[in-house]
Amino acid sequence: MNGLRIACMLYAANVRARMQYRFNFLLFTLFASVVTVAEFMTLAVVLHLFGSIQGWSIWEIGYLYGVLMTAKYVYRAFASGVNNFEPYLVNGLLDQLLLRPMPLLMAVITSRTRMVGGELLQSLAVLILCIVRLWRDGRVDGWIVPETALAVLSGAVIMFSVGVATAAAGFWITRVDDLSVFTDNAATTACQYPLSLYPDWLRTFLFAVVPYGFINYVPAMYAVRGAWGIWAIGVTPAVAAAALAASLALWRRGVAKYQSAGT
Amino acid sequence: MKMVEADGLEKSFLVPVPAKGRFRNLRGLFVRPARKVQAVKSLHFSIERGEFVGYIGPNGAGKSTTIKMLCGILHPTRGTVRVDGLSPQKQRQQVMRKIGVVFGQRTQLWWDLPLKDSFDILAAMYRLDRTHKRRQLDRLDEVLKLREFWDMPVRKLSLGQRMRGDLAAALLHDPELLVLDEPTIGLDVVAKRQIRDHLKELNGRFGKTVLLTTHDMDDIEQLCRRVMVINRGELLFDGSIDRLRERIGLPTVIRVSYRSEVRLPDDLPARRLPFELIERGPREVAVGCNRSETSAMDVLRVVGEWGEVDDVRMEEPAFEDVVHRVY
Repeated sequence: MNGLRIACMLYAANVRARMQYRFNFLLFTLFASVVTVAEFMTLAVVLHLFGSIQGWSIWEIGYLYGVLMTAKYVYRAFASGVNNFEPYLVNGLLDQLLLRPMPLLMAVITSRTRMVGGELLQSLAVLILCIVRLWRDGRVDGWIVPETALAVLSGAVIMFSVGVATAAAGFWITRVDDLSVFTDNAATTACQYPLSLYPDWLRTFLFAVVPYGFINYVPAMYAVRGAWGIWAIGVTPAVAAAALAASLALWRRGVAKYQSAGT
Repeated sequence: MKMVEADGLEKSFLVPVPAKGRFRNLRGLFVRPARKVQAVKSLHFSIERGEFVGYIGPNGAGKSTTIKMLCGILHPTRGTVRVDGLSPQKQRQQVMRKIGVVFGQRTQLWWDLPLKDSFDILAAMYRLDRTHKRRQLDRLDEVLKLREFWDMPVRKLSLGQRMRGDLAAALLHDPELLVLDEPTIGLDVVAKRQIRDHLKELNGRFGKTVLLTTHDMDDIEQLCRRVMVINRGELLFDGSIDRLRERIGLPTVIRVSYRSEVRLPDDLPARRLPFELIERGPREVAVGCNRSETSAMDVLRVVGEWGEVDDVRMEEPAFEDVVHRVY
């Protein structure tokens, strides 16, 4: 519990530090929310033109989008340091964090806080809107709520694990910004649509290499489409646990390789 | 138990070698030959409790690498280092509770927040309760005079104030060992003196063990009883400052001025003088001698024959020159 208290204290300190620069703070918050709105509008326009894609209705695809984006912003809210790891390696910022009497990963996570309130609210709004529509059409029932919550939380853990693995790669290759565009941003964009649209190699990639497919597509195949069995709900947390364990192991090996930066 | 113990400590890095010839940049993308650079080679040393040790060497000698291994930031390629019997690599968090670290070129403090917020956060991190924290801050304030500026955001502090803040941050959890990497870098004379006084007091009054790296020889001369000199990753000297001076045997310079023109004997080169003639002016000479071999009186007896002596000045070797000799 003490760890949690310190984490909260550190997050609060980050936010207070950000708020020292009021103009930048407000501008960033505003800008970030506009981007998310614009992104979903594009998706909505595409879907409106086609009506449905391979049997997926606009609300079903909206559900995929909502789960994915909510998971993403939950992850970003608590671990944006992992997602922007390059400066820690390049500027030797990690030295400072290694001096703290806490696990290094914990120190990295709590060293940076991104204000995601606006984006998180929008993602949730999309998600809730789609669930309500699907419910009214009789496609889902009350179970959708715990099922979705489980998918979102496991999804955040999967994204966190991929982020940690990408960051850990930096202990060998130093520059990881571009790698993270590939493992995080590209994979996220791909998973906004049903994976059945994609060729086999890409689907395999999104299941086996960067397992973002498990965040929304797999649970939705049971919870919304009813095409797969109930196992599809359980497999997401299992993948999350495995991914987390693997990425933490990689992280530990990477830390021993850390070269620091000259002074 | 020894405070710090390094046993065969080694660290090497792989440094990419720039390729030569045509298309080197393109080829560099695929094959990059790397060279192994040994930053630290087989170091052996130990530091007792309560010692004040200066660790010096030119840039790139391996000072920071050693310090970073001692703090658990880097993992040694070979050998071990122990802090109070613990491994900084395997038991980093426990070691961090025993040592306080200041990197002069970086800060541990929260840049955008008032200085005292940093102390609040650190106190929570080190699990100090309110009374303990208060007592520590009172003690530190006595020496470092923090209260004058601790409501200001760290980014607005002067370099000297920030360094006092950083020292306090490193000492808040009452560590037994203080590791300082160039704590006086960039400070003006007054601030340097203040920091030195604080360090002296911390070591003398509170019995803290201190390991200090610096390029400022005055730091070493005024603070450290023991010096370790490192160059190209190897320990060249480990002992007291006086012994270092002796070992190098830099000459004491004696300047003699005369009331009239100097009359040097014609057969000077042929005579076996117990000193060396360094400079020669119309009414002044400077000679150098090793005082462990020749006494000043012997020198004066000889130079006294060269004219009517007006004044004699002696210049002891500056510590900085001593150290340059070692490098």
